[in-house]
Amino acid sequence: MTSAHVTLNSTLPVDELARTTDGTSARDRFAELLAAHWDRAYRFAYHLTGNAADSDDLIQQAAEEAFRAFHRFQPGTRFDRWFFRIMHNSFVDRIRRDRRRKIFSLDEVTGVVTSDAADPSAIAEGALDGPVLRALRALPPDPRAVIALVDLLGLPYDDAAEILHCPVGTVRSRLHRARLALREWLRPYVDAMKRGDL
Amino acid sequence: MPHLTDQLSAYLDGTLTPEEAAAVASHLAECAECRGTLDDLQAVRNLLRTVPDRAPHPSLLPRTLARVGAAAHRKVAPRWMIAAAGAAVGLALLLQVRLLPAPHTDRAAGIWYFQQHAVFAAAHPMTDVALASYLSSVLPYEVLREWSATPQNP
Repeated sequence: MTSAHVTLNSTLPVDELARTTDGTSARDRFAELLAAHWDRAYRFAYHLTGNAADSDDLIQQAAEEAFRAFHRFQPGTRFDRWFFRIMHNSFVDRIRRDRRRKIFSLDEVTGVVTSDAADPSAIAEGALDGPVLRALRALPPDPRAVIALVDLLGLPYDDAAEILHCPVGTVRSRLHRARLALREWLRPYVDAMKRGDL
Repeated sequence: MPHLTDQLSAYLDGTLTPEEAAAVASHLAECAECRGTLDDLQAVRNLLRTVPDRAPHPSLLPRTLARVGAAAHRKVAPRWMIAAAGAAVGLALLLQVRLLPAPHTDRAAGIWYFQQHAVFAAAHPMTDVALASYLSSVLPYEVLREWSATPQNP
């Protein structure tokens, strides 16, 4: 049972649902596919936008766009990758439209994040995600999307490349640069992690 | 010997070919700095794994599906239709400029214009606004006032 209150056929691979011709409407099939991938899609939206309100808006807009384009979805392909790609495109469009949203460079935010770094040994258990999330939000959109897909959602490089519509080599270089930036911003925590203190 | 760059992240993630991975391992055996960077990258990846899953509000999916359903029932003109309508407006403006006679100031000509407008607008509703705008610029004020909405001319 998913959060969509729809029962999924456990014997049928999720992405095969779009192929069924048992009389269900396109909207029903779309709803089932969306529900099956909802939680992970929301995590991607959250890490793209950095806050709950924007992620709610983004995933709703992406769902509307995806449904309008659902006739172009190829049954047998991965719905989650298809939907993630639509959502990422929506996110990029939003950034371009919203002139007020400042896109930081990697160097600009270094001070902001490191100034927040407290003594790692004094951090209460479970509170570590605060600085890590702030560092993630400080990344520019492209590296943040790669980190979200590969490190947080565990997708392989080629899937991330397909979603982000770029070569695999670009995913690899963006991922590396983003990790290096996070290393600098989270240096006390990285050192503590290497010592086994976290 | 140049230090490794994004090969280190790919090595950490196990995405290199066996040959590439062997080359990286060979370099790492001799380069303490790259070994340190690899350890840092491993620690960063472990830190990122401490980020808790964000769960959507339980009502978000039902609300989203309701919006999708409402949007499906809205009749949204496809982009090609909007573009075609725009092109039709532009073409209509061009035709008016070229085909309509020069503006007349007498009342009969004004009535003729309104008749043409009615016929044209009925056939091409999208161009109605553009044509009305054109007529309002060429008709004398007296004709417009006489033909404005009155009990006689609703």
